[in-house]
Amino acid sequence: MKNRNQYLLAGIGAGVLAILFPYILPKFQLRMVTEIIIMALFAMTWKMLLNEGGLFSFGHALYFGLGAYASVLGWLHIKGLSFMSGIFLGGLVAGLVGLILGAFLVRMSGTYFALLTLAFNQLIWAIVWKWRDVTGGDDGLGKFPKPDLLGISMKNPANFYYVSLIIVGICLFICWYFTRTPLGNVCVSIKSNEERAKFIGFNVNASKLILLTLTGFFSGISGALYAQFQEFIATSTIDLGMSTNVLFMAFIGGIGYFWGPLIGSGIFVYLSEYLSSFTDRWEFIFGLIFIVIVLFAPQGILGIVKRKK
Amino acid sequence: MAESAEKPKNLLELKGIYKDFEGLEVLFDINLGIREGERHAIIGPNGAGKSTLFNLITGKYLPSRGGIFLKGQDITGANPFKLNRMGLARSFQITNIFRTMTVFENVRNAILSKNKIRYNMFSRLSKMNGINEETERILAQIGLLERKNELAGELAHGHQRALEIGLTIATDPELILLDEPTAGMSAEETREAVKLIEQVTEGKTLVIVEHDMEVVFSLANRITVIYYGEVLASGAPEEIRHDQKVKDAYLGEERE
Repeated sequence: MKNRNQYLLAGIGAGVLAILFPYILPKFQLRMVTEIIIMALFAMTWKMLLNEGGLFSFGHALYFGLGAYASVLGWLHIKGLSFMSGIFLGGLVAGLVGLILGAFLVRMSGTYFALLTLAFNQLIWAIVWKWRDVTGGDDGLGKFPKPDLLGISMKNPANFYYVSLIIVGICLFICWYFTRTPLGNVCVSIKSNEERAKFIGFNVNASKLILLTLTGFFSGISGALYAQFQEFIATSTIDLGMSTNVLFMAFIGGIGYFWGPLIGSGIFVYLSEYLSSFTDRWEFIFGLIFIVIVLFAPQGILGIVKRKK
Repeated sequence: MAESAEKPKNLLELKGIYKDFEGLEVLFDINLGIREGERHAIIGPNGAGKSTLFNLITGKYLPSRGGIFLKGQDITGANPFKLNRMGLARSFQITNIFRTMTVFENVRNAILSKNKIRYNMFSRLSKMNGINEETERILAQIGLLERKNELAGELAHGHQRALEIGLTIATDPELILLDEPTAGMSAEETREAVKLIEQVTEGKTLVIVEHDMEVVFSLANRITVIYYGEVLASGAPEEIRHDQKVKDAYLGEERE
């Protein structure tokens, strides 16, 4: 009970802090917090695939990037597409592609699954890169509308921050809820022992497919939010660099913990910001940190904190 | 009695099963009927093809030739999850449980599957009281209720084997296949296991592969002997015990 109260207190504290951020943080810091929140959702979907389904994706930027491109193309070409509809469109397209590619992916497991996700990522990236008329190729896409939401201007960073917070909050709640449902439990069982799951009557492939579609959808949402956050998208949202970034975020925060992706994306965004102001070789330092984490703290930062307790 | 002898109702039927692994022939022309309600033991020396036969029935392998029928329906090469839904469940020779989950969660998985709650992502699992009660009933039956919160992978061997049986029966199958359920058990544990098997398979059809002859003769009411990929004999325990071919090949003479 005491534990529960502590969590409640921490939750309320974090909530109040989150509401106050736009008033207490300087503008560029608020931007970073917004980015952290958006990336946390992306990292959460990757972590869910691994943690709930035992599926190691090496091409997760595929869904993130598709969400970004689909929503931006929507805002550019569909007249009067609202803010939320655009975000939703991003999620829908990514989820749909998740479903289609998933039909192939669920037949694979382990290393071959990872390799196939990598291949699909490269394939879609190449299409985006080459199809200049639509995607702008390496020039990217910018100057797309940023519609108001219910009369509230999204151009105001504080407003955009609140909206991102709410959308991501809802998505994270759904992800958390999913782990508590029978289907979430089936996914965990498949991860634990795929063969046994089959022999007690679970359709392993169908369950994995639902998980892939779901995580594709939420990755797409985060990609679409990211597009509005940056007000510009390029192939870097869908390339392998992004696929490794998400892996980094999820691992550094701690794979086994619900809040791991948030901590990980926080560390990632802050570090990349500060390190890149010191040196151009910040990615090298990132690599070193990643190696140290994997070798000495495979359960991530939260794993270290828990062990100290 | 006479009627059932004339036209025995076969729950499971194997017709002309052949299996070879890249040229290595393991089973030749196996014809076998499992009658409803019987306890059928399949015995034979190591490498006779018993486990292969099991894996063919449960959809893990595909036979090279021949057909397998459950309640008259062709199930040759059917998906394991479909077989389970048709009422066929199996245990494994090498313990095959959800090691990273608790004992309770292990059994609950099977109970959920039995109740066709497989894709629900809207209800909370912890609120499903009926499921939890049913799970505890099975746990009590296999004697693991007190250990329900322990991780399955950390249980003692005997308890893991009990859980293996629990997972197999929890989906309430008509036909239960147990693959060496007492493997690696002490004499004491074996006796417990036999009692458990008798109790949980009450009124169901059981096929069991077993090496321990004491277990076989105390459980089975029909026995099939497989010897180098062929059915050597099939019949009631007393017939098998006194069958000269079986004695020569496998059981040996009884020592007085």
